[in-house]
Amino acid sequence: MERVSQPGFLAERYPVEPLLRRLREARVDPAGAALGALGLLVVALLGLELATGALLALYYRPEREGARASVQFVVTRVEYGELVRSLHGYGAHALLLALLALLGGVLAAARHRKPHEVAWSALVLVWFAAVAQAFTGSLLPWSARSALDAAVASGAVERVPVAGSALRALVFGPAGGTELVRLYGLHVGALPALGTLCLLALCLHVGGRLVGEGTAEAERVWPTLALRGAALGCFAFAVLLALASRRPLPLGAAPSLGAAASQAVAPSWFLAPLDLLLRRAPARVLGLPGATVVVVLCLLGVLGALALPAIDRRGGRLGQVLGLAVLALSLGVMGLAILR
Amino acid sequence: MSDDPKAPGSLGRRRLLDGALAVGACGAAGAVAVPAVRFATPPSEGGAGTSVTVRREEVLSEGAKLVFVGAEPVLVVALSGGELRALGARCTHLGCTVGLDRASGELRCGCHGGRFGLDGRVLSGPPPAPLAQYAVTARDGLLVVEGRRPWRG
Repeated sequence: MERVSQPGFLAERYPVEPLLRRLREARVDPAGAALGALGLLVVALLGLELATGALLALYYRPEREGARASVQFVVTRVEYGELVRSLHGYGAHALLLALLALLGGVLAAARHRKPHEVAWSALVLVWFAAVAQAFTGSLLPWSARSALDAAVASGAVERVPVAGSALRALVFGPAGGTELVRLYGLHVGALPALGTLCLLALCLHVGGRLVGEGTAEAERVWPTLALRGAALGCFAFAVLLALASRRPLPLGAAPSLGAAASQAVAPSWFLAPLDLLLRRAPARVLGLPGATVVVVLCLLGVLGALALPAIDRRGGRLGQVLGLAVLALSLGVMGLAILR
Repeated sequence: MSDDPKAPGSLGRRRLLDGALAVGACGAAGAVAVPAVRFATPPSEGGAGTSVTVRREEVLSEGAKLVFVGAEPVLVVALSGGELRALGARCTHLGCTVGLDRASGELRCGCHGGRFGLDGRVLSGPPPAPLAQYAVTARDGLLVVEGRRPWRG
């Protein structure tokens, strides 16, 4: 009797063989391979944040009175609670560093220009979403430091011309201590949704370009690049695991009623450039409050970063040099903040 | 024939249809976005014009006492002559709560280094305006801080 080979259960329902074949044939140039490995590291770190975040969400209570107690409960009573929380915290820092490296790499390789403009803007949006994600995450345990950071952020948002008050109400909610509900909503809903959409745009862009034989020095996507990304991810996970188990993240002091900031407050390293500008800006610039000018300049900076490919359109290198200079300067300030 | 997509009249019609489609899509997006933003904007809080009481001795012994008038933090401070003032404790730079630095006898904001005198004036740092002042009246041996109409300067 003749035996007919049947496709497997999964292969019949998910015919991915043509896609895999294409992946096996795909090649990228060396610069693309390095950026690809970093991209895979970002995806791995996102996976870690998602998994640990989902676990922490099982216990977290987004209210001023209960937030710190719920985090304390996780840290002191829940098995592996301290490890999971520390992995989530350190993972966020690692994700920001990986994204900074990716942004720098893309700029240095001039991969922000046509036809990569939309992918560049998506990557910039992912960066800002990750910063907002890390910041909202740092406020959730509602320590004394979180309360002050929330006050500063609320004040800074209010400085946005025209829409400041409305925006503040949208992000921080009504006065009276309900800000954690909104911040938690942003942290687990709106910001991950924005990041996912942008990452999808990035993946479609990269995936659509993995075709062709490439040049002689082109590298295989599968298995060379995939293995490199996996190795990078494993290394990062090992470092994070060592950090989380040897130096668990502290909970921070409990906020007192209306916590007064008579002591100096240091910002998170990723906000150090903004903090420096807010601290050093004069009280008034051209008749406007200095903080308003700083906020407007920052908004213009965000727009400039998104529109960088348009600045470089005619073969010039102004945008690339400007972007790299701003990135290097920010890294310097962030590095100083970490060392301090 | 008018069915021919390359016919001169057909292009204009197609543009018109494209435009109508774009306007319709924008309208539909707006119809979703406007109620969503209005939903997310919290209704305005009442409570303006509330007042709070504080014991004079508490202020004099500690030098300053933080109270809340509604959601607003207010610092009642004792000046050197025994005069009491109620100052909005929200820093005019970015809204951190200021506190009394007993060593220097000044109000300080640790967020960005703003310094205020006990009368609310800016001494140094990035705050662009003095602290808000609230009316304080004595009633039945207690100080009443009125939340209505604070002023600056």
